[in-house]
Amino acid sequence: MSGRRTPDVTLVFPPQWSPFQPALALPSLRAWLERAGHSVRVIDANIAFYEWLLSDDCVARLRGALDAASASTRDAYETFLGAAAAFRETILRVRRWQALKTLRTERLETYVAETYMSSRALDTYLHYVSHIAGGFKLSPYNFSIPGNSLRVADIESFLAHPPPLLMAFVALEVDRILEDRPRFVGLSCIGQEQLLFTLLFAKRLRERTSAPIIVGGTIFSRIFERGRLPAQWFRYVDVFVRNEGELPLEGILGLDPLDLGAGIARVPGVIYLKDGVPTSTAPAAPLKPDAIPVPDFDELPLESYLVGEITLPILASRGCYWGKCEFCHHGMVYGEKYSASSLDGIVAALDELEAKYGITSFAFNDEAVPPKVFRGLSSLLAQNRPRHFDFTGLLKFENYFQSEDFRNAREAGFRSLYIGLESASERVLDLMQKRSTSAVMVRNLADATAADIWTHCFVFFGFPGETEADAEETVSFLMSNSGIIGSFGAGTFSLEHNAPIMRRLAEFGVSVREAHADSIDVYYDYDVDRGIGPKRAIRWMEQLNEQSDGIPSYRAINWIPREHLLGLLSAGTVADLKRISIGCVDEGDAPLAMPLSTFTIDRKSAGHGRIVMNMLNGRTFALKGPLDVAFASVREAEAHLGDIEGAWPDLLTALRSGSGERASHQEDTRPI
Amino acid sequence: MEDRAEQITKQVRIISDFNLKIAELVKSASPTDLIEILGDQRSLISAKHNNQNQNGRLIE
Repeated sequence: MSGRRTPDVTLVFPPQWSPFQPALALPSLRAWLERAGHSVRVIDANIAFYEWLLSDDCVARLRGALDAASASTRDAYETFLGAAAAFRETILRVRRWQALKTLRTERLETYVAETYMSSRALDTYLHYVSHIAGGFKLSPYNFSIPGNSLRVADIESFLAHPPPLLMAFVALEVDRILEDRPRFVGLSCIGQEQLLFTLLFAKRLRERTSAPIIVGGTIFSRIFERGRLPAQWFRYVDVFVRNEGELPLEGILGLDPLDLGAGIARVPGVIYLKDGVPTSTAPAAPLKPDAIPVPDFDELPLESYLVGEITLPILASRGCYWGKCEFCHHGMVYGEKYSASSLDGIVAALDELEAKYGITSFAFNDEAVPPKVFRGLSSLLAQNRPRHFDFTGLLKFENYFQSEDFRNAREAGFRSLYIGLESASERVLDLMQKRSTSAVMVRNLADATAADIWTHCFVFFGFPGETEADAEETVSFLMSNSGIIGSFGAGTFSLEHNAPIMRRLAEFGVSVREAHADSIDVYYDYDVDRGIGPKRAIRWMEQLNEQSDGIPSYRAINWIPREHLLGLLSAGTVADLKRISIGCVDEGDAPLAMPLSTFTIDRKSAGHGRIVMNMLNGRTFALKGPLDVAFASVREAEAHLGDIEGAWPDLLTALRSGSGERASHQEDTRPI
Repeated sequence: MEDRAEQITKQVRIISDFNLKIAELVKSASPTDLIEILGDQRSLISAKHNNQNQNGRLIE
């Protein structure tokens, strides 16, 4: 970063988070602080982490970790490590579609197939990286360590002895963060999966710089609210920011970095150590959306995200317009206040982002887009700029919505909607204070589907008071309405600290189990005195997932990460995507129409003949004698699996996921 | 210049010869010439589960 001036603050977004889309938090904060006259550098260490994992440097470090493995295991993993470049090619190929907007529609089948292959190859790659490195499990969706990552003792043990591979990355990244000697360093932790990396970065930074280290995002705020923020973490962190970061961070940047203590008590919305005790100042005032500048994504490497079309996150409101759901604590982030942007403000932001970055896909990440904003924006854009933008957003079912709203929404560019269905039982919905009715849910879903908008519904089982009959109603609803529901995500109820239901536990028959003394979990274990309890809720969720696999349209999209969906839908219709996607899924990771070289890797091995790995599922096998020769011929001829499936059916079986017959020599099938 | 029908006939012959060669190689192999080393250790990653956080939705 030679030539740039010393930043007032460098803001860092640590792993682990989605590698498919930039997060909104730091671009939003940067815009605010720059407007206030501060120089701000932003680093997405999460996407840097995924890119580094695919690098030769990382592969060289992994090789060193294999010394203790058996010869055959080393052989198998050498196939993987030796072909890291091929993995990279298959995983990163999806990014070339970012510059090929028109071709995405013209060659939709290839675009979907390459997205599928990229996504599956990334899963395989990270699976083996985790397996070889040891000490953690990583996927595009999660990061975890053995033991309980929500117990202070386990976290401290992780910080004292981090897996060498992770520490190598953190050390490199901290060098990058400090190269222009920022006055302050900020770390943003908005998801629980980032907690370990946030502390690991803070610890390393503390060793390398005297600049104050600030941690923002909701995760540590929640731990503090729960009364479990360990004082010992102030060894690594100077100040934690509570909830919205704009005003607190602006206040902190006005202090002397060498003497924070002199003024920190006057900054709103922060937690600092006072006489050895984590202490909070008064909350900062909630911000009005129209007072917040357009997010500034300037320093993010937008072309690096692992998708065929970049989607930028945006907010049309802060807080939740409904704000009554018993299970949800989201409102606390915004001081229980809600306010929406003006339509002019939203359109101006979209125009500015398009002009600056050439991006036309946006995700409204509001807890729920306010109905009047949804109607107004859809109507406005449908009239003035048809088929210009592509949108996705979160919505709540509302009687207010008419079929015309969804037709306008589609015309304006809405391709998919994420909706909190929660339960199909009106009795449970009333208990939750969600207050949706079956008739409205079906009508909204049918209207959206008729307008060619994909609908994804969130449901969960085990809300206190839910009965077996209620759960059955939800399962039946999803199974019988697959024509108007594109996809769904099923979960189980989580009892969150400070959620409204916490004030009425006795009324709901809930008793909270005492957490371990050093647990920082902001969700409580609990029992119910009637209805479905936590274990039974898991069973209902599993049952729904199992049953729904029998419905092709649900099965078709199971593999699609949420951040890919809008890009895929923007290139074709909902029906197109379902048709092509089910083909990918049902071919079981052995695509018949793609050359073998695009999804397999192979190498000669002294002991095993030729070792072949399917990048899409990790299946690895050895071929000897005539089969070795046959495979080499197929690769050389760039033949497709479909060309030779009749001549060599066993190859198809060996490559496919879930193939029934397994060869007798399974030398290493350790699950991680 | 070859017409289209001739081209297709030629291609079919090439694919069929290639298939014959592969089929012969496969036929001459012994049962232990294909040995599985690592199975598919991952369940299909599911959008039902990915990015799901508490109460079935993403927290940001």
